[in-house]
Amino acid sequence: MVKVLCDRCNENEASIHIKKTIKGKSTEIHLCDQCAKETKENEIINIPISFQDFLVGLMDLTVNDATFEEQKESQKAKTIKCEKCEMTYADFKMSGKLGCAQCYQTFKKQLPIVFNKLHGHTKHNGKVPTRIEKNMIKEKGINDLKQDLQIAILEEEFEKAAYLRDKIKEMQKGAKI
Amino acid sequence: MRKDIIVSSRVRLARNIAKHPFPNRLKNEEAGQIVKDIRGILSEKKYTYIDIKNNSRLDNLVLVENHIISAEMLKGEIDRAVFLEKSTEASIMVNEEDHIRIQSIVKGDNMEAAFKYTSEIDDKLDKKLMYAFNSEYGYLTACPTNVGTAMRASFMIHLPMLEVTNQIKNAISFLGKLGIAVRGMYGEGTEAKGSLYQVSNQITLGQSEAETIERLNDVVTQIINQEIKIRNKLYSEQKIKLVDEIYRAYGILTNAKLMNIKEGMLLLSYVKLGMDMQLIDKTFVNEVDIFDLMIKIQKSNIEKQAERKLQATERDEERAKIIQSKLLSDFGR
Repeated sequence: MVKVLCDRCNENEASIHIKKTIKGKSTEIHLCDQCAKETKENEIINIPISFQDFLVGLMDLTVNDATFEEQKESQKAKTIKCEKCEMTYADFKMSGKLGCAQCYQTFKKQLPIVFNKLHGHTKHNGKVPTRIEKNMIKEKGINDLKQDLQIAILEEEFEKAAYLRDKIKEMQKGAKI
Repeated sequence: MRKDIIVSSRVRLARNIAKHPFPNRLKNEEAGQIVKDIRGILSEKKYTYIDIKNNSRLDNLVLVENHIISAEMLKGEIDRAVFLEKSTEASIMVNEEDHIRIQSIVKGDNMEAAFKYTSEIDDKLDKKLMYAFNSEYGYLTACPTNVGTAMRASFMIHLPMLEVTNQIKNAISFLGKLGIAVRGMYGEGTEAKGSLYQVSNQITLGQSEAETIERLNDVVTQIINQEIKIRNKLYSEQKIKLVDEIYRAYGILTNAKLMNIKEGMLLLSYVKLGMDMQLIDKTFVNEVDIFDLMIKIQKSNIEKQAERKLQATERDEERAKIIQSKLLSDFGR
C-alpha cells in the first residue's frame, strides 16, 4: 500500500484514516498515532453508528487492508454483476445486502473476506436441510465402506473385499439418482 | 434469582427459498406467491395468518411492541405476512429481510424450548421448500451477518443494579469482544428501558446451533452473576435504602394520575427488582407479570385498548390507569 503522511505533522506515516461525509460532502483525514491522540478527530469512534454503516465500513476496511494486487481485484469486483438478480458488488457494498442465493456464487471470491471479518470463520458448521443431510449420510456411508475395503485388501480377505467393492458401486449408483 | 433475571429466551432462524431473489430484489407478484406457498404449508388451524401489508398501522405497531414482528417488517412495500402459533409462542414472518424468519419467545430461562419450537417449524417448511443452502456457507441470507446457521438466540435480561452502579457499560464492551451483541428491549438502536437488555450471538458462521447457545448461555451467566453480586451487596449493606426506593416506586405507580413511558418503565423495573429480591410481597402487587405490563403500557398497546388515537396527556392518563388496574386487586371497586 502507498505510504500516506500524517496531515497534521507531515512527518510520520498516517495509521488512522478517517473519511467524513457530511451532507454528501466527503473529506478525508489521515493521522499518525501521536497526532490522533493529540487531536479530537479520533473521537469519531464514539459517534454511534448504525449497524448497516458498520457493515459497509467493514467491507471498505477489507479493501484498505488489502495488498495492491488485491485492491486492483476489488476495483474489478465492483463491476461484477449477478446474472440472476442483477446485483453488482458495488450495490452490495452500498446496501450490505445480497440479492439472491446466486450472489453467493457470483461474489465467491470477495465474500470469504467479509465472512472472516464478521464471523471469524468461512465454513458452515450446524444444521443442514434434510435433502442435503440424506446425501451426506450416503457419502459418509460410502467413505466408511471404502475404508473397510482398504483394510480387507491389506488383510488379504479378498472375498470380503469383492463384496465391499460391489456394495460401494451399488451405493454410488444410488447416490447419483 | 437467575430465573427472575432472565425474562425470556428467544430463537430466530432465517431461511430463504432457493429459486426466488431475496426480498430486497423481489417483485411483488413473486412475493405474493411466497406468502401463498407458505400459507399452504402452514394451513393447520393452529397457525393464525395476518396479512401485514393490509393490516391497520396500529395493529401492526402493536405486533411490533409485542415482539411478534420486527419494526423492519413495517417498512416493506411488497406482500408480507406473519403466522402465529400460540402454544409455542412462535411467529413466522414472511418477506421481512429474508423470505422466512421463524422465531419463538419462551418466558424465562428456556432457550432449549425456543430452539426446539423454531427448529420443528423449520423442519416442517424444509420438507416442502427448497431452501437456499450451500454446503460451504450454510443457510444463505440477504445479509452476510446471518449466513451459516442463520440463527440468532437472545436472552432478555433485567439488570437494574448493573445499570445503577454504571457497570453496564463495561459489561457491554466485554460482551462485544466475545461476539455477543447487547441491545435494548426493542432491538437495534433502541435504548434499554426498564433496565431490560437483549443479549444475542453475533456469530452465525462456523459455530453450530448448540455451540452458539452454549456460549451465549455461559456469557449471560457471567453477567447475571455480576448483577446478583451487586444485589446481595446492597441487600446486606443498604437494605433499608433499597426497600425505600422500591416502596416509593410502588407508591407512585399505584397513585399517580399521569404516567409517562420513561417513568413507568423505570418504576416498574424497581417493583420487579423488589419482587425478585423478595423485598415486596408478590401478593401485594397482585402477582403481576411486570414484563407483560411493561409491554401493555407501550404507546400502541394503550391506543389499541382505548380504540382511538390519544394525545400525549390522555395516553399518560390511560397508562396510569392500566398500571393501577394490574397492580391493585381492588382497582375500580
